[in-house]
Amino acid sequence: MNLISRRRLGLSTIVTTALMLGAVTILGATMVMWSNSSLTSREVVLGTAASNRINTFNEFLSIENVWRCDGGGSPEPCHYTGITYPAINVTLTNIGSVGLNVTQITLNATHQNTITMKTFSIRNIQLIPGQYYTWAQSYSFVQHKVPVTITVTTGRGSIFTNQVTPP
Amino acid sequence: MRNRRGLSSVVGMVFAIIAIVTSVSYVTYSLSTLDQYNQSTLARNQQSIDAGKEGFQLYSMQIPANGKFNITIANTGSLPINITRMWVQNTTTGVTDWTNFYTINKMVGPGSLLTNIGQCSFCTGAKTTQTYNIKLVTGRGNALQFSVGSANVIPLFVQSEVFPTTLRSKYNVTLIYMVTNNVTSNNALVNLAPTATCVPHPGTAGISLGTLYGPFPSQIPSLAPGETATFKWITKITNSTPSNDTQYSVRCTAQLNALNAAFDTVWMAP
Repeated sequence: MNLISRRRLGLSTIVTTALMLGAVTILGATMVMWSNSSLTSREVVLGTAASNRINTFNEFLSIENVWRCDGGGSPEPCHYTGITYPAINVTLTNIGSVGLNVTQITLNATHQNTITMKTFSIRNIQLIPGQYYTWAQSYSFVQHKVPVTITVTTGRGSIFTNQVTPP
Repeated sequence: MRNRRGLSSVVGMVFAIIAIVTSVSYVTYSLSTLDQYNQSTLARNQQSIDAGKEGFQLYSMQIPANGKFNITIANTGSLPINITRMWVQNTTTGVTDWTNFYTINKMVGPGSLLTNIGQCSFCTGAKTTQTYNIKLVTGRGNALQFSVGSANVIPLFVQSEVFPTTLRSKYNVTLIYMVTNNVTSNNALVNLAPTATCVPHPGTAGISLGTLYGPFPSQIPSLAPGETATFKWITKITNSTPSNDTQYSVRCTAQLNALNAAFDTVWMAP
């Protein structure tokens, strides 16, 4: 009797233990997989956000020179030949440590409570560090001596401004 | 039973270790990312501080006979400066307004001078009779903007003085002409070469004028904003008619051009 009793107890204990171990393994593995997946995705989000912020921080664009051209003359006063006059030329220089992409340039002239704002979407102005680019656009200044605020927006959302006054 | 408990403990321990390692690696990654972020912020701040420490001034400006700008700047800041480009805009009235730029890429240390800016092989087209707006740009994005002008188109503060002012019979007369660059737009004047004439008034009766020697110096290549240039002429005036009294005089006029003329008078004494 003693032998039979020991065998029954042993079987149920083994089964129970196996069930518990299985349950623990499944739960543990699920937990580990979930947490690992969650942390990995958080790492990706954190890394992407940090990288974007760092790159945005390191973006440094200089609006180096702005000049207008009315056409004619030698050397050619406008950056592009064949542009409709009058025009404005804006030279941008990347003085930061990361490459950047200019996506938008806005010209904003405010005169006697009248705001004349023109926004130009830009494509393919990609500047590596140290590189410069001159953007030319047909543009009539509102009036002499009325300042024009030039706002340049990059692909990462950085905004750089400068102000010029036509003579 | 002891063995079975040990097995479950080992399994639990394995999961615990996995969880701890995962957490530690996540925290380490987060701290590393934060450190990179901080380093980036510090680097960006340093870049801004360096840009603010840059300082340079126009030292001299000339347009020599080779038709090129010859600019010298002084680095007055505490950091080396890289002059990357020079922008030139022709602002002469009546001349088509053009803008051009030249790549410079020259370094200058603190307290040093950078000379011969604008003397590159393709930097041509500078004329002493025209006015220009020049902008020097540094690698950190700062700029020094100034004008280079012919005195022919800008009214200046000019004075003339003669010595002595009263003449009895025969005397050497000295004419002094002073030009002050009082242009407010940081405008350097180039190639100042004035002329002078002396004319008896109301007539030549008994008054003879010798040769007018001068000016000394014959030319001043550059006059920076706020500076004054002095030119001198010497002549001999003879009053052979003692009856000439104070109604007779000699008017000496010096000028860079009609816009910048000044005169003074030598009075005849009875």
